[in-house]
Amino acid sequence: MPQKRTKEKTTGKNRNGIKPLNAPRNIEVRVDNQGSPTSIRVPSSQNETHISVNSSLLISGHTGNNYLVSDGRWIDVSSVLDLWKINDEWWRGSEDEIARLYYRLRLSNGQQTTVYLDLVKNKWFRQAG
Amino acid sequence: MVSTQETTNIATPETAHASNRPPRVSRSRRFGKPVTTVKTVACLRIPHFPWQLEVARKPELGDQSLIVAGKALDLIEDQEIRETGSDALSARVVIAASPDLTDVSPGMPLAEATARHRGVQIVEADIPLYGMVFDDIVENLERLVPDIEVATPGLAYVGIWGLEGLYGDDANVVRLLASTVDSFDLRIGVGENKWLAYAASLLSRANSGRKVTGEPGKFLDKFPVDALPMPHELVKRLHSFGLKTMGHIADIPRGPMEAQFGLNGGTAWELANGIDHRPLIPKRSALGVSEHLDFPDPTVSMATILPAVESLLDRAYGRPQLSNRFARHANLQSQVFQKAPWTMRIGFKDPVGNKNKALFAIKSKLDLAEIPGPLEDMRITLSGITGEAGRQESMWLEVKRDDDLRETISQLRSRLKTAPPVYQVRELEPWSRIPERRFALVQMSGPGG
Repeated sequence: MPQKRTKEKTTGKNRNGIKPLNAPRNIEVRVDNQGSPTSIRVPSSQNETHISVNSSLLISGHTGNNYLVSDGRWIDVSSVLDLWKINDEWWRGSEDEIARLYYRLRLSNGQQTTVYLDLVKNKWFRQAG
Repeated sequence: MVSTQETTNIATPETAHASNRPPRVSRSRRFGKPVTTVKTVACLRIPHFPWQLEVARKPELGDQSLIVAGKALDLIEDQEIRETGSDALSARVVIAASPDLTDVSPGMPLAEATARHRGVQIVEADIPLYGMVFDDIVENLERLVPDIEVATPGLAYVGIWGLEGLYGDDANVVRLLASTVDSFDLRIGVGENKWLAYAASLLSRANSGRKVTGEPGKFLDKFPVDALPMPHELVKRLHSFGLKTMGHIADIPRGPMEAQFGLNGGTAWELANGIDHRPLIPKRSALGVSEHLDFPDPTVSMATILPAVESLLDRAYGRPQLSNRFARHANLQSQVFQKAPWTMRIGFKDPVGNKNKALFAIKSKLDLAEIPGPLEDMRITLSGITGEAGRQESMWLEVKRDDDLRETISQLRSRLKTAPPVYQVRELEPWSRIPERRFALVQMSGPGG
């Protein structure tokens, strides 16, 4: 069943002991008027509630393990190194299609990271790989 | 001394048909069959074997009506069925009864037997003991004949074809077989197949043999259906249809029997006609090493049991049979104070060639085991002994690394009692534009197994 497959793939574990590598993790992102990230923050709590998109500011997600250290502080984005868009599985319908806007960012602390805006759910995620 | 009595002509005044039915001829004979060498089979039967053993152990039981009770599972011959046993096989049934309880047969539900004989003495079956004693008997027999099938403790079939050159005729062979069993009431039957041999053994007297040489149909005609090696429920149903003897069943065409009683009905019809296609499956002799000790006092304490296991393992691995060899299984057996004996089987993940590894595996299992009561003694049997004299390490570093990792994981699994969280990165869809779909972490050992 395509929907179940998609869900297993994106939610982490399945019963056969297989976990996707580089699964997306939640991140909070502040954006400017054009929608480009200006600063990011790794959610401090695993149970952080979802905050919906505000016209100019921030977005967040649900849960996730954090490897990008931000100590709960916002980290400014120095520059956008790359920008690309993925559209896939559009045949599954508007709710299940994959539409992501990826940003490769250099942060003010020197780190590089990749984040994307899920255009279907309107949420930001961080992704390795 | 054993006498053999040939039933070449079974139509004696006692066994001739009361009816006017013509003598029955078995189907195989009626329609003719290819001329093949007849493979004569002998059935060695020790009637009420568990009862005989219990009386030998406690002679005061000899004067009482006695039922040896156990689980239906213990009466199943097929090892596969035993291992995948259902709840029905856990039901309490009669394993054996004293000879005076003529209407109690093995496989009968215990409740039914006790309802017929109120106040009868009930003894818990000591299946490991019955098996061990009968194994000793079979071991003696194996010195004479190679093909022996153990059906249940107390019942074995022996292939005696082709032994004329060695021992002479069947009567001599039967005498020889009987001479190996001296402390039990033994009945021997000889026939062209297992069923006929078994039926002949039912007619033989104590410590004597009987051979079926006449027409099986005639020989079996008056046999009660209770003699059929069939489930107790089927025998009851046969009675309820008025089918009380083999002759009654053989009078019916096979079709209606199968329609009414299913596959077992067809088998019953074949047996009633003296047809038995079951091959003789000789026992595979498995090399095993067994050590035993008695506890000074019955104990449930692990502080006593574990050193005992260690000591037994030490002795077992010191035996020449295990020198530079590995065992795949260990079997622990103990008599339990005022309760049924306790057994536990441990399968080693890898064949174990030394005491410490075996002790580690046994201890892990003992930690989880529920010991039913104070143990009076302990016997450990190491089996599945392999000829592997050592462990071949790979000369390729990568293979060796994988082997080491697998070994570590299996040790972790034993310790954690669950699949250890060790994962390997595997490619799934490396071409995918969705990064999380390109690779996955796969657990190195399945979560359940």
